[in-house]
Formats: sequence, C-alpha cells, structure tokens
Amino acid sequence: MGYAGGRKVDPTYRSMGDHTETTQVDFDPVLISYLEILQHVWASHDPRRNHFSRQYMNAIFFSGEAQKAAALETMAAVQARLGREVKTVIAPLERFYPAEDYHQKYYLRGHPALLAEFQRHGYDDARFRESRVAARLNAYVSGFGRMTLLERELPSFGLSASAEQVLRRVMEEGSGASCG
Amino acid sequence: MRMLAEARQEQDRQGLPLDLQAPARVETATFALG
Repeated sequence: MGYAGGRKVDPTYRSMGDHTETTQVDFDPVLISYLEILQHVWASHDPRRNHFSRQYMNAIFFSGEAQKAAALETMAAVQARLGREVKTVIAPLERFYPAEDYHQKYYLRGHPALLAEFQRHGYDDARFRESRVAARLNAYVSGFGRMTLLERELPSFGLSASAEQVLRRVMEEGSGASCG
Repeated sequence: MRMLAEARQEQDRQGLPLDLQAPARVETATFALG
C-alpha cells in the first residue's frame, strides 16, 4: 500500500496532498501477466463511477510503453462493453511512496501468532512489507484463496507447525474479512 | 546439539524459505481501487 499520482513530496496518511491511496504489486510474469492483473483490476471496481476525491479515485498507473498500451487497450475494451465513458484514470507512474507500516498487510496484522513467525525470523518493517510470504498470508486471512491451494503451497512458506494450524483454523472459520 | 540449534537459529534469521527464492523476473503493477 502507498501513495501515488500526486506532486506532494513524502506524503503521509494524514498529509496525503494530491496523492491517491494506491496498491503496488510485484509479480512474476511467468506466473501471471500484466494483462491478467489488469483484468482483475477492471473486474474489481465500477469504471463508470466518478471520483469525488483524489484520495479514493480508481486509477491505473502504468510504467513504460508496454504497460501504457495494455492499460489503454483494456480501457477501450471495457468502454466498448459498457457503452459508456470510463472514469478510471490512466496515468503514468511518477513515483510510488510506501504507506506507513501500520497500513501494510493490514489483515495479517490482526493475527499475532502469524506475525510472530516474521519476528522469529528477524524481519524488520521494510522486509515484512516486501515479503512474498506476508503477501500470501494477508490474502488468505482476508478471505482470498482456497484451502486446497493453501495446502499445496504451505510447505514452501516455512512456517512453524503451530502457525500452520492457526492459518488452517482461520481459513476453516472463514473469519477473515473479505476486502479488496 | 548446541551447534545444530545455533545453525538453525542462524538459518531462521535469514528469512522464510519462499522469501529467499527470488523469481527470475519481477515486474510491478500499480493501481488504485477507490
């Protein structure tokens, strides 16, 4: 999580200026393409919606010509399908500012037994923010991902047996909030 | 035994296994869902 799209230098949650609350995802293009990610982005919001503030607008911030072409191409397709003007902003990414630590992996932060795994391995806040394991656990505890997938990839996480049990219990109870 | 435990602790400090496997290529996608 972070802030992008504005001019204010070093924005914070309380002083965001003209930036927008933004998600940045690192991905392996062998596993998923940028185009596929864009399809999830388009399916996860209402592109017809006007934005009433810079803080909460819908936007795709592209990096480079290939991403720009993909963003514009998918926007044109969405527009043709809807038959209405798309209000989602397509803009170049100038700079992404990571948000404060307490905004990172928000749902995972509600599970002390899982957080303890990262403390045991000596993670600081920056490493936790960039962790692939933390990203996946955050998704599972917030209601995304199925048990079959979890069981398949759980050994690669390297969690303790007790943390694995906690994660399974959270999944079974479906207690995680489901939030994009 | 003590050496084994220390080696395990040192291994733990390096990070969780999945985080130690760097993918060959990493790209970045940036978007906002207001």
